[in-house]
Amino acid sequence: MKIKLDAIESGIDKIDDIPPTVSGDTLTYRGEPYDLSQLPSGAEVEADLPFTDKLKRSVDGELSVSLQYFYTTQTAEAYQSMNINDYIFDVIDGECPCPIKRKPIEVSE
Amino acid sequence: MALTIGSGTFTNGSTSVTGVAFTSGGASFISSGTLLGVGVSPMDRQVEAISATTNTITLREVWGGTTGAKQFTAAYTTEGLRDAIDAARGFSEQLANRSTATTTDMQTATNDVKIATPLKVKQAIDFHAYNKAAADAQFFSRSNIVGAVSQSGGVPTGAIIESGSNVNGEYVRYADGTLLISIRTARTLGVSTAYGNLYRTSGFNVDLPTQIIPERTTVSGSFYDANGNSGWILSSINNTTTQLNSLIAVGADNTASAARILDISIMSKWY
Repeated sequence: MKIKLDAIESGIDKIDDIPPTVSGDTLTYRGEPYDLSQLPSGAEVEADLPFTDKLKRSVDGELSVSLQYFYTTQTAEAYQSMNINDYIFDVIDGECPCPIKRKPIEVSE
Repeated sequence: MALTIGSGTFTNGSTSVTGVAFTSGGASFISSGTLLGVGVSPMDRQVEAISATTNTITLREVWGGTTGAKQFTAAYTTEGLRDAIDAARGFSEQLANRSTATTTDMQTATNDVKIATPLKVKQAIDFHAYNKAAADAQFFSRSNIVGAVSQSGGVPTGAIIESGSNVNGEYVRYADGTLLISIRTARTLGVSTAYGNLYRTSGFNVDLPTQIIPERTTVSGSFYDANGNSGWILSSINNTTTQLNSLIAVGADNTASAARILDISIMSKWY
């Protein structure tokens, strides 16, 4: 499954999303499982948040999804990658990597 | 200044003079090294006083004369002057020693600054250095005005300015809630739908680098392409916290679908 994480700094909400996990055609994100197995090859369907684009399955059968992905500068570096390719992952099974550069953890004195 | 003159009851074998009343001067003029001339015409004897209150005087040695109410006149001696110099020197050394005090001496349990004596200048400097690293920093220097902004109930609790960027664009957040966003993105757009005497694109969306408050947001923008076509970008009322929705690009010429560069400026609030 091709996953694009639409990284948005969450501002006042201070949300740090946890990357989605993939198991076959099922995507689990923000605690919700999304079973995409019924989507036929070559099809596109509209989807609400947390999806930020249509759910698509290529004629080759590969699923691709775009997800809203919040981070906060409370834990993340302010300056994140501006290269879109750093936010696109091909996940066969398991957890999607997190593209967000985190701050070093401060050791209290 | 008149001499310190008064009367009191001197007791044989005691250092304490009681029932003291001053007719001129006062207790503050009597300290270690003050000479009391006791008795008037003839003077009984001279003794050294070391301290006094408003109605007592303490002598260095026990009174050797007879017990009774007597008049006295206080005078200052070089010994008294030396004591005063020693006291001043002690004060000065105390000042110097204070410079090694720790920051905890400067703070109450709630991190408020104690009402500092003028002696604690060094501590104030230490406290500033400590405070710079604290989560509830209240003082700013060049090194911490830029950082993560935050607020609690509309009161800033973080840095003054925060700037950042990601794949969607760049932003600057100020402690007062002001949010500035700049976005440069490339889109393939056809400016071909009649729009009065102009032409427009169909609606498109642009993701934001950070969340906005849609109803407190103004958007302006322009587009241009490699062929010299350019125009404006107009916002709609459909913006969300994370996306500018249903933008249109408007140009004077009817141009077919082509790659365009979009420059968008946003002014909003982050709280």
